[in-house]
Amino acid sequence: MGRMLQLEAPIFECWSFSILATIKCILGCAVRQCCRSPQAKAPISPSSSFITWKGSQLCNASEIMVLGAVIPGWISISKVVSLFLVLLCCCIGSGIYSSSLPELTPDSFSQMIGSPHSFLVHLRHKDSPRMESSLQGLPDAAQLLTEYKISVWQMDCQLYSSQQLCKEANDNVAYFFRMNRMPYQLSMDSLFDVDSIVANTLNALLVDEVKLIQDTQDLQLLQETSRGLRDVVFAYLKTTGSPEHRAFMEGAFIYGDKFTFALSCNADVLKVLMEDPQPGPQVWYLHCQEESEEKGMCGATLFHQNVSLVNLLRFFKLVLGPPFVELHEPPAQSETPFHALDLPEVFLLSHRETYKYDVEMASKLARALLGSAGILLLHCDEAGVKVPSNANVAYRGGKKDDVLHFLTLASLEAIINYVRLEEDLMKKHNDRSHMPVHQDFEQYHNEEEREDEDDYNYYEEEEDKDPLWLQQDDEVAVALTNGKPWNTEIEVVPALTDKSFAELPTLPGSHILLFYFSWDIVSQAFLPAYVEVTKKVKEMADQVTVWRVDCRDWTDVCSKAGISRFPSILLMAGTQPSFPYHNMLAEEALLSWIKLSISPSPSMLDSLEETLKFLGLMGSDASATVLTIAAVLTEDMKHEAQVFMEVVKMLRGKALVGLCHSNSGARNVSTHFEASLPLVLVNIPGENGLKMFMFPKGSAEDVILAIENNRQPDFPELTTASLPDIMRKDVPLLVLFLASPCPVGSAAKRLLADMHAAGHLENHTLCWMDVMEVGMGRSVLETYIQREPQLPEFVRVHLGSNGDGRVHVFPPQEALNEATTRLWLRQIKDGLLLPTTILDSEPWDPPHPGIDFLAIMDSKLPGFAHNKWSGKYRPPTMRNGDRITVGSRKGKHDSHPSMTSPISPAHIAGQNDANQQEPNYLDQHMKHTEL
Amino acid sequence: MSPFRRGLGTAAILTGLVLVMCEVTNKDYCIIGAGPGGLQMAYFLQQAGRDYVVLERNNISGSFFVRYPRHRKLISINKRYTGTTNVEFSLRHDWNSLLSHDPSLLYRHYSRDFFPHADTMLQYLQDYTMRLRLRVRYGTEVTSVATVPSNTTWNDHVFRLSTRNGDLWTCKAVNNDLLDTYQLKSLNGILEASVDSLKLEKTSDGRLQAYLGENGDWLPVTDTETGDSSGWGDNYSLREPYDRIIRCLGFHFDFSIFEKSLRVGPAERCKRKYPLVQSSHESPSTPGLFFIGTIGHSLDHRKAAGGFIHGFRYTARTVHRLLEFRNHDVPWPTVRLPISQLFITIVRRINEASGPYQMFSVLADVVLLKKNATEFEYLEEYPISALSDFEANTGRVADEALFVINLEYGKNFSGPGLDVFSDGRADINPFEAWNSNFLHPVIYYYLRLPTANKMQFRPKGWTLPRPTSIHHIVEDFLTVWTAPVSHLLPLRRFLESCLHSDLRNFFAETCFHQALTARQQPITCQQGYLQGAGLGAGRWLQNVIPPTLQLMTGQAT
Repeated sequence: MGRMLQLEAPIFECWSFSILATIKCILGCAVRQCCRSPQAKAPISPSSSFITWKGSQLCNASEIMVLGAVIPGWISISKVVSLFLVLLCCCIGSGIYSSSLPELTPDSFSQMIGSPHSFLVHLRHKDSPRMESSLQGLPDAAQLLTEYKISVWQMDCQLYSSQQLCKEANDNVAYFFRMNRMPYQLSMDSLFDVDSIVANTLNALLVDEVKLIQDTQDLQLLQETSRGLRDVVFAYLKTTGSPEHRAFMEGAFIYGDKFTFALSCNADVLKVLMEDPQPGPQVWYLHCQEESEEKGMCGATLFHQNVSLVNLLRFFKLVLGPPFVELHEPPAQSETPFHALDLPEVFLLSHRETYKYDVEMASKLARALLGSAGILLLHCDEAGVKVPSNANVAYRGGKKDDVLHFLTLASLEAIINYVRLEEDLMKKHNDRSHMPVHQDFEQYHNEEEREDEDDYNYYEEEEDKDPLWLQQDDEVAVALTNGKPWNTEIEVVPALTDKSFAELPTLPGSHILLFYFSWDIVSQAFLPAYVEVTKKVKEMADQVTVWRVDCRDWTDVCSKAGISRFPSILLMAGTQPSFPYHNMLAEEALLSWIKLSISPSPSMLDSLEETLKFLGLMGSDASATVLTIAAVLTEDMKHEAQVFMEVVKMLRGKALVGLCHSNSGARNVSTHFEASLPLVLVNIPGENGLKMFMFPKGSAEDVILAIENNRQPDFPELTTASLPDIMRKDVPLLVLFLASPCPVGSAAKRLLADMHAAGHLENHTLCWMDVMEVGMGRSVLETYIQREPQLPEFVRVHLGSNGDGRVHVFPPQEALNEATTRLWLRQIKDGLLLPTTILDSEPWDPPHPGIDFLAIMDSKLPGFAHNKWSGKYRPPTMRNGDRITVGSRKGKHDSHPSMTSPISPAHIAGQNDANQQEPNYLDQHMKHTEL
Repeated sequence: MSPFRRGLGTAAILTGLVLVMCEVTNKDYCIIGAGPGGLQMAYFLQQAGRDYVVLERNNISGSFFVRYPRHRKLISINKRYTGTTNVEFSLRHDWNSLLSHDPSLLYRHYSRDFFPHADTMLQYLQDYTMRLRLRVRYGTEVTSVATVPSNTTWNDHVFRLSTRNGDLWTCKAVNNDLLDTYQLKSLNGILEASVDSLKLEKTSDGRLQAYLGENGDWLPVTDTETGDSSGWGDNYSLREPYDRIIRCLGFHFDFSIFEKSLRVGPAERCKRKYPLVQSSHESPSTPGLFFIGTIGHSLDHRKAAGGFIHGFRYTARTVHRLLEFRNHDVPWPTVRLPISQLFITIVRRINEASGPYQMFSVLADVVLLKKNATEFEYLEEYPISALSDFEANTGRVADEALFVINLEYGKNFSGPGLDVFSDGRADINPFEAWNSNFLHPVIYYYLRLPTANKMQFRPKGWTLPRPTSIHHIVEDFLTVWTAPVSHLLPLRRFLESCLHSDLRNFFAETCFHQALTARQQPITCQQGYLQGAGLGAGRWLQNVIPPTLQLMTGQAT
C-alpha cells in the first residue's frame, strides 16, 4: 500500500488539493485526532508521511486554485482510496499547522514576558518548505514541553511585521524566553523533529545547569570541583537533537537537584574515562561525592542500557538507593526493590563466616554493575534457601516470571561477565521485540519501513523463534570475545613465508612451526600460549626457532608441509623428516615436548652417578616433570643396543631417554639396584620410586609396549592432562576425592596405594582428585553424590562410551580399610549394590537447527526446489499419508516410465522404507524432502 | 553484461585439443594440439609418469597466438596483485596461467599488463613446454582419427592417427567495442554471413564494398538500371562501402578428421560448434576419445569458464584424474580426516579454491562421510553433472551420506529483464542467502548418492537434484566467507543439523569435566581432548562458562 501511494502521489497532486477545500472541514478534526496519537494502531506508511509533507505545503499555499472536484471515471477503487489518503494527510498537515499552536499576539507576548513562565516562540514569516518537518513536530513537542512548564507559541510575522521580534529575526529561528534572561535563539535547523525540539528547548532552559564539556581539561576540572560535593552524570553525544539528547535533558530536568549534569560532543573527552571508547552515545556516572584516593579522577560507571528516559530514571533511582540489599528471607517470597524495577538481580550467597568478605564483594559488584543488576546479599543461614553446595552466586533475570539460577562463578570478573552476557542477550532481544520508548511519527514510520522489507521480516520471524540462533554458543569463541584481545603480541612469533620455508632445511638448529588459520577460533585461542612458548624457547635454547604459518596466506606452504588438520605443529630440523606434535595445545605441554624433542637422544651415561643423576635420583631438575627412561646394557649386548636405538626414535618427544652402555657403569647400576642386566629403568614424574624391568627380548615394539605398561603411575592424580591416558584403558575408575591438607585423606591414599601394590584393585584404575586444588573437583563430586560431601570420598565409576556410567560411593559411615574396600568392590561386581547415580548419556545433539532453506524455498517459491519429475511433488500443505495425485501434470511427463499412473501411497511407503535403512545418526533427522 | 557472460564473450583464444589413446605412436595417450589445453593435459600425464605424446602441426606451442588475436591483446585478466599471498586464491584472478608446481610459471612473471600482449602468451607457452620438459612432437599434423580393433585395451580398440598436410584451423576474435557501437548506432555494422558468399571490392576512393551472394546474384545491386527490380533493395544494409572490414569468424570444429565409425557429432543447438561430449569430456560414441580445452566448452557453454584457460586448466586435471582411475587404478586423490576437521576444511576450500570458483556449478568438491560420520573423505573438483556415476569414476565409495560443496550464482543473477546493477542485488542477511545473486558457496547434503534418474529430473535451473538439506552461505562482497556470525555460525549449524551432532569446540578443561560427569562426549572432545590433543584454556580460563554451569542454570529452579 505504502509503495503504491508513493508512486501515484504525483499524479494526483495537481488536483488533490482542489477537493481539499471541501473535505477539509468535514474530515479535518476527526482525522487529526486519530493520526496524531502516536499509539494509533493504524499503520502509517513512510510514503504517506512523505505525502503529508507535500500536502501540507500545498494546503498552506496562499493561493489555492480550485480546479473542481471531478474524479475521472478511469480511476480504480484503489486509486480512489489512495487519493483519499492523500487528502486526509493534507488535512492533517494543514490542521496541525494552523490550529494546534496558540498564536501569540503582541499583547499576549508582553504579558508573557512579564510572567515567570518559560516559553518558546516560533516566528512565522512565510511558508518555506524546508521548515515543514520541524513545524510538523512542534505541536507534539509543545504538548510534551508543557510537562516541563514550557509553553510553545507561534507568531505570525506577516500579520505583526511591525513587532520588534519579527523585525530582528529572520525566518529561520525560534526564540526561547525565560524570566529575567536574554532571549535564547534557536535555529530552526536544530528543531527538526519532536526529539530535537524537546532536547534543544530543555537545553536552552538548563543552559546554566548542564555543563558543556569542550575538552578533556573541562572534564577533569568538573571532576575536581565536584569532588566531595555531588556526583556527576556525564553524557557523550555524537549529535544533539537525538532521542538520547532528549532523554538526557529530560533526566537533567528531573534530577538536576541531585546530580551535576554535563554534556559533551567531543569524542576525545571519552578517552579520559576509557581506553578504547566505543562509538555512539554514552552516559557515565562519576562518583565524585565520595572521597577517592586517586587525585583528580572520580570513580566512573558506564551506563550500559540504551539511553532512554525510562532507563535513565531507573538508573538514578538505583543510584540514590542503597548500593546493595541484605536479604534474610527466601528471594521467591520477598519483593525486592530491584525486582520491582524489572532489574536483574545477583544474589551473593552469604554465610556467617564469610559475611565481612561478602559485604566487601557486594559493594564492589554494586559499583561495577550499577544500573545493570541489583546486588543482594542473601543470608543463606537465615533465609533457609536450599542451595547447591558448590554454588556461590544466584542470578535472577529482570522479568517478572524469571526464576533463580544458582551459579558457581569464581571471581568478581566472572560475575560481571555473566551479567553482561545476559544483558547483551536481553538487549538484543528487546531491540527486536519492543518499540523504542520514544515514539513519534517518524520513528513509527521508520519501524514500518523496515518491516516493509520481506528480508527483515523473515529475519524477525527467525529471531522470534529462537533469539539465541545468531548468538555465538561455542565456548571457545565466547571466551575469545569476552577475554582480552588475543593478537596483541603475535608479532613476537616470526611469520614464515614461502621463501623462508624453502630455506628452512638450510638453516641450522631445529624449527617449530605452527600451521593455523587466523580466522579459526581454535587457532586464535591457542596463539597466546604459542606466543608464550616462543618467548620461553628464546630464553631457553638458541638452537630452536619458533615460527608460525598462517595458511590463509600461505596455503601452498601448508600443503607442502603435508598439513591437512588445523592447527598443527611440526618440528623440522635440516633435511630430516618433520616430526609432528600430537599433544595438548597448551603452553606447558608444548614446551615440554620441544625440550624432549630437541635434546640429544639418547643421553650417553657412563657411570652409576651419571645414571642416577639422569634419572633424577640425585636432585637433577630434568626428571622432575618429565618421564625419564634409561636402558642399562653391557657392551656385548649389541642386539639390544640396536633395538634400543629404534626405541629411542619412537620415544622422541615423549620421554627423556638415556643409555648406559659401558661395562663398568652397567655393572655398577646393576649392583646398585640389585637387578640383572639388561635392564630398563623408568622414572615417572610425581611418583616416588623407580620402576625397573628386564629389557624385553624381541623387537622395538615389544620394548615400547613394556615401557607403556610401566610408565603409567600406579596412583595418578586425575587432571586435565592425565585423564585421556586413564580413559584409554577403558576400565572402571576408583577415585579418591580428598582435600589436600586433611590427614584422613593422606591415610586413605596410603591405604589404597598399598592395596593397589598388593594387587587387590585389579581391573580398576586407581586415581585421586584434590577437591581443593582442581576447581572442577568439587563439581565432579557434586555429580557423583547427592549429599554434602564428607571428605575423603571414595567413588567407583565406569566412564566413557563403553562404560555403564554407574557411580558407586563408598558408604561414608563405614571405615575405609582393606577388608571393607574389597567387600564393597565385590558387592558392586555381584550387582548387590545399587549405584548412587547413573551418569547422563544424553547425546550431543546440535544446539540449534540449521536454516531450513528447502522449507523457505518451498514456502516462498513453491516448486522451485522440486525435482522436475512431479510424481512425488507435494505442496507444502500436504502431509505424509495424504493421497497424492499428479492430475494435470501427468500429460507433461508421460514419457517417463515412472509416470504412467498417479502416485499411490505405496510410493510414499516405499520411500519410508528406504529411510529406515539410513544410518542411525540420521534417523530422527529424515524429512521427506529428498524426492 | 554479467561477469560470466562477459568472461565468455571476451576471452579470446584457443585451439581445441583432442585426447585419444592411440596406436600410431604406440603411446598410451596421444594429445592432438599443443595449445594451452594440450599442454595442461600433458603436464598432468607427465607428472603421473604416463606414456604420452603431444602431436602439434606447427613448430611452436600455442601457434594460435602467433596470429591471433589480431589486435594482439589478450582479454583474459592478469591480476598480479590480489591482496593476498595465497597462491590458490590468486588463481581465481589469474586467467592466463596454466597449472603446475613451478611458481615461476605464473603469468604475473610474464606480463605486467592487466590484459597482456599475445606475444607474452607465446613466450609463456614455450617456457611451459620447455621448463616442464613436456613431450611435444612438432610438425606433426593429424588429419584422420580412426579406431582399430584391439583386444589389448579396455575399450577393445586403439586409435590410428594419420598425418598429412591440411587445414583445420580457424579462429575466433570478438571485438566488444564494435558490438557495442553497432548496438548504439554509432556507424559501425555487423554482418552475419558466411565467408563463402561474400565478395569484397575496393572502391575508387580506397574503401571496401561488400557484396553478398544470393541465388547467384550479388547484393546490393549497384547497377542503377535494375534498381527497380530489386524491390526493397534501395535500403539494403551493404549499400554503402566501409573503411575497414574485420573478419570475426569464430572457429568451427573440423569433424572431418574423425572417421564416420567414430560418430563424432556436434553438440545441440547453439553449442553445435563444439563436439558432443559427456560430462567426463569423453565422446559418447567412442570410448577413449576425449575433447578438452576450448572444444570441451559445450558442457558449460555460457555458464562457467570451461572454454578458456582459467577454466579448462581445471577440467584437464579432472579428466586426468578420471583417466588415472580408469586406466591405472589410481583412485581419485582424497584426504581422510576426523569429522571435527570438516568445518575448517570446508571453510578453507570455499575461501581459496580456484577450480570450483572458475568452474562454478561444473566442478565441485565432494565430502564422503565415513565410519558412521565420525570421519570424512574430501575430494576436490569432481564434475558434478556426473555425480550419479561418482563411484565408477573415482574409485571411492559413497556408502554413507555425502556433501557437495559448490559455488553458484543466484537464480536471478542475470537474464532478460534483469539488471545486474539493480538495487538490492547483493544481500548480507544469512537467512536470505538462498537469494544471493553473486557467486556464493552452496552446500548440498544427500543421504545417498543421487541416481542418474534424479540427476535428469533435477529442479529447473538447478545443477543438482533436490537434496535432503541445502545450505547457502550468503554472498560476500570480498568473497571472503569467514565472518563469524554471518558465514561461519550458520554453516556450523547446517553441518550440525546434517550430522545430527554438536560440532562446537570445547576447551580441554570442559572436556575433562564432561568426561567425568557424562557418558557421551561432544565430537570435538572425543577427537581432540580424549586423544590427548585438547585445547588448553590457558589464559582464557576465566572467560569460560563451562556447559555444566549452563546446564545447571537451566535446571535450577
